[in-house]
Amino acid sequence: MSEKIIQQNIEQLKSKILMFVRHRTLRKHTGEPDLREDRLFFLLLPLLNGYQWTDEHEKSAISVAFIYSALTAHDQIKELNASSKGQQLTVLAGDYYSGLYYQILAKDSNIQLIRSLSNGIIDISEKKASVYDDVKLSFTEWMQTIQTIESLSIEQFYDHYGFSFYKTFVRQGLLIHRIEYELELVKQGIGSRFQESLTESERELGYPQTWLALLNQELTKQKFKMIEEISQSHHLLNHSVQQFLVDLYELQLNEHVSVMRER
Amino acid sequence: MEKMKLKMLYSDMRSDLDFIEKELEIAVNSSSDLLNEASLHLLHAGGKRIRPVFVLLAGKFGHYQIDQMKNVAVPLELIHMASLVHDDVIDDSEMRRGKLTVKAQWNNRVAMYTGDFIFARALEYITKIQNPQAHRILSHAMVEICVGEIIQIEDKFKLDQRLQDYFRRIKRKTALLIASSCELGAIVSGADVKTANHLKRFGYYVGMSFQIIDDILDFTSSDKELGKPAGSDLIQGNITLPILFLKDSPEFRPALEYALSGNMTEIERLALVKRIRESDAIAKSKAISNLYLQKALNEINALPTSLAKKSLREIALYMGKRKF
Repeated sequence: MSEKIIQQNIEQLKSKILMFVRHRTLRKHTGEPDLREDRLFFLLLPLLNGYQWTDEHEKSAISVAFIYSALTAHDQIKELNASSKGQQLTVLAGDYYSGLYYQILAKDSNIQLIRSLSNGIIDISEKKASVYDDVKLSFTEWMQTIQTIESLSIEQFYDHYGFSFYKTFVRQGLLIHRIEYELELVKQGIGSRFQESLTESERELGYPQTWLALLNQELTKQKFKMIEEISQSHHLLNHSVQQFLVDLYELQLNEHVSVMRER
Repeated sequence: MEKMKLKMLYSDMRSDLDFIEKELEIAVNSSSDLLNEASLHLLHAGGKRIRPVFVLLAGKFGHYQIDQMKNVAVPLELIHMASLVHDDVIDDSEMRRGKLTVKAQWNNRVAMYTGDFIFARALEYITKIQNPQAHRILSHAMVEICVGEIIQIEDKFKLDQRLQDYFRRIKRKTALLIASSCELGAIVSGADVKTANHLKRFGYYVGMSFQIIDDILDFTSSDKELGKPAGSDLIQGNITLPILFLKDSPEFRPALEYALSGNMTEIERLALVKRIRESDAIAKSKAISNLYLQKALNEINALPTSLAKKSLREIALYMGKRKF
């Protein structure tokens, strides 16, 4: 399997997901659902590595993609003024995608997966609310919080179908993406609730370094860990998938090799 | 007075409804203090709990066991609650049932997470039901409700819409979930298909009647009774049945267009609400609500005589005549 085929698989999944969202008004005002390539890639990881991929796997993957679309839509709602038509429809788009996730699995009688994914959404919502809840956490705890928010639904998908051995990749990959996103916001001078929470926790608990320094270190650490995992994963990931991950997260393999030599 | 009447109507089910209320409190329990507080804030604001009531009453036509019925009654009320929190963001509402909305007390984003949390709790809860048909019915209803709300936003501020558009909208907005409550109550209790279908149609007609009354009350009730300004629907651009009866009247058309422009003062709002209240649109709307109510009653006439049948009839009649 080449990287081109991986890309085609991702595009095909995306098209199939969009087939479920035929609502004209919704698409007109809110655009297409947020279907990030890395998430779709992780959902397809078992297929891309040659595991049996049934219609049930595909429908379940589509459901999980809708959960991400739903929760991402609701993240786009402004804290104080959501009265524009676009914002109103974004609220409903999120609810609509949630309904679709349930409907797809209900049609497949996949009640057990509905249960575990709902359980995950409860956890994710609680973690998302924590930035509004005046909680003070250590830097590591904040990283764990973000990791849960970013990857739990895909992890549950893996657990349900016996692909738990892929969890480490999605956990690291989606955490790297989120850290890079936050660092980019900092670079552009844009704040976020998450950054405010880090600032407050840092002030209250006294971090060893500034949260920004810690965040940069965490990015390096996670990228390094990802390289390490990839280099030890020949039995789990085929070569093209490994290369795709390296490209996706712009991992510096040479750096890793030199680090390994030093060891 | 109205609450007293409702309490009396529910008296036969009091202990089971108290049990459901406690289960609702348990269901919204969260490890997040904020979500816990926001969910309880919403739960304690009250509500008629008509969805759980219809689930329980429909269940009486099968093998009623409260431990089984709660698995439908609780999630249906939770789904309704979740949709209210999100609706308040959409409508930019500050008050609901005389209390601050979640979005007003905290902010829109907290309201989004609270709704998502409650919705997920509802789905987690209903997976105790293993019957795939129940899940298909409920998930279909949920998707349709969203589509209805999307259409409602699309239709906002458009005076020139047909009665048919309005009915289609309220079917999705309200009637579908009440119909599903009745149908699911019947299915989960093992009632026969014919009975389940009568109850489903009963729920649909009652839901239609209920929503029309709700839309009438938006004009005929006082600000205090509503817990929000009378005429809010119109001001927010929602064209309801009384307005559809008035939109072509030369006496009303300019005032309605002005109301929709968003420039109306408080005094002008009260004056317009008074005019609408005194117009024949209210009686015409009530007549249509009564037609739906009659259809609902016809559906339950076919059901075997029982205490539950009597209760369904009384609650339907109450809902058709309620004052707020």
